[in-house]
Amino acid sequence: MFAYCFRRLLAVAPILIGVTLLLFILLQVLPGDPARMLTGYRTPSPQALSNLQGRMGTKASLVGQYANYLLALSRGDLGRSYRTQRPVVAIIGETLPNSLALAALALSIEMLIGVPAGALAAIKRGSLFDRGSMVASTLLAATPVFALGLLFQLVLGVRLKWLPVTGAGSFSSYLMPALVMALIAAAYLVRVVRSSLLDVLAKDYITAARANGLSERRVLLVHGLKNALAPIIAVAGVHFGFLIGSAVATEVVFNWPGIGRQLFAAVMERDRPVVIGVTLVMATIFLLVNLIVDISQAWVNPRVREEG
Amino acid sequence: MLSSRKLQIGLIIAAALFLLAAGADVVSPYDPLSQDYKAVLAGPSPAHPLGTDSLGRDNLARLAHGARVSLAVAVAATALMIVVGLPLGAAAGYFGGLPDSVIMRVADVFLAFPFALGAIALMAVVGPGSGNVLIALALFGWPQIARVTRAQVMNEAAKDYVAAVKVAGGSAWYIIRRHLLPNAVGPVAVFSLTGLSTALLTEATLSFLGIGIQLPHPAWGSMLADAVGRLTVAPWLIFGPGAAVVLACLGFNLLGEGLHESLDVDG
Repeated sequence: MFAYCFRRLLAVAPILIGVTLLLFILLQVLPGDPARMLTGYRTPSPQALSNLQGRMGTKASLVGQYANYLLALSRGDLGRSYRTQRPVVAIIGETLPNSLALAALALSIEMLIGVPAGALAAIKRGSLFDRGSMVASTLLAATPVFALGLLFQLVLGVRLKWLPVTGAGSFSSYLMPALVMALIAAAYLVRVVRSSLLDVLAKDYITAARANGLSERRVLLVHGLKNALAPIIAVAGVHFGFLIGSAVATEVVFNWPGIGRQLFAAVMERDRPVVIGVTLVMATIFLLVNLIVDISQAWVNPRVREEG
Repeated sequence: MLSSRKLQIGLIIAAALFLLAAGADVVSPYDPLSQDYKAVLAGPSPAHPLGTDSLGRDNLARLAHGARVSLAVAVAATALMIVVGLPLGAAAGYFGGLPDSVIMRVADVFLAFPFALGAIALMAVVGPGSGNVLIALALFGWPQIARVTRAQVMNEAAKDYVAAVKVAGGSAWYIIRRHLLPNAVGPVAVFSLTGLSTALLTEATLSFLGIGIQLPHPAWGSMLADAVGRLTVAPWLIFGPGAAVVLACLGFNLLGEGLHESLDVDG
């Protein structure tokens, strides 16, 4: 198990370096000289431009710049915002907790909807509930998160006035954005739970358990759902990536003060260090979550460890 | 094969959307860019069946012309993903060893970004425009195609008949083209249809955020952005483009699922 963890960690390192290289290219290389970009339409005097380039570290060769970038990253320095000159790390530190809180609630709601609905659909295969939940999940999987968000704002906020339309004041303001993200994510989860449980229920040991006279509830909960867990964990990583991606549009629709709205604001203000810094942090979180998923899979299922 | 209900519904939806795109000028007499300041945020009426937007432009005309852009970008991006991903995946799967490691490590770097996030970061740097959207989608989408192709090619290349062809003097290029790729076509086709709907959804997200299709050109995502903050005065703004995105993705997803079921492949 330890050897497996070590191998996975070793495999992630080059990916992380590749990610930083790609982001470095987007940050420093692609647009041309960042110092010229920063000065905008005004033409700076050669001396001022040279000073600025010196301060931004863009006078060094590209290899040198990349080395400096990595060195700064290792110190936890993501650069400063072009706009406000504040450290990007501080900006992320302020907004990330709000996003994590929203994501945690969304994830909980998703589990509460997705797991029972998927299990029920599998148990009552072919029933009205099964068909209905499959149609609903097909429709939701085709819906952009911001379109569902606008629809919810219109129906639950503007018309019925049940929930606040935007903002992050009270607990009730969490509900709508979390529900929107949860519903779309649950559309995928329902299918995975359903097909995974159907596979398990067709196994011989389930027939054996039933033949031994175990109650149907025990068969389903102890033998069925427990063994259906592995494929559900396996898709958790992809799933989390989807949540990160949809967080940006969701936070914009609901004006949620999280890292996604921050990213959007930085994109609009052409504040490249913030865009790249936020992207790096989100991609790193995504990589770590996938690593944890892999390791917990290996922990649940020893066969995975052998395959490496 | 067409007996599958999912395939039938998917085909009908896709055909309807391509018709809407092709006949955009017939569907609505208005120019999607011309603004009418006397009819700003007008509700649905015989003259404007879907109402007008915040600049007095006809929503139906923008919806139909937006279909052109959205479908064209999604189809072209998916095609580009295949053009890049298929050969790389095939080479990685067939040759193994160093080529495999190099190609798949590069793929892993792009897969380390959640799809929408990678596209947003790239668009933030290169700026909006349909060509840039195409590149962003293809850049973060090709690794998926490469993975599917690689798995299929590896599976097939391990079979005895491939070894026999090798012994008989068949070149790598011949074996890949004649024996290995035909086996990958099914799974890649299934995956590409899903990729098509992901591409469309992501383009809609980018356009919604204002970094997709360049304004004032119509796109479904930017039409939805027009509704933000105007729900109390103009709720009709969300229905047309919202339904269009859902229908298009639904159509492509159903086509993919139907094809998956009728080919019975692991995609």
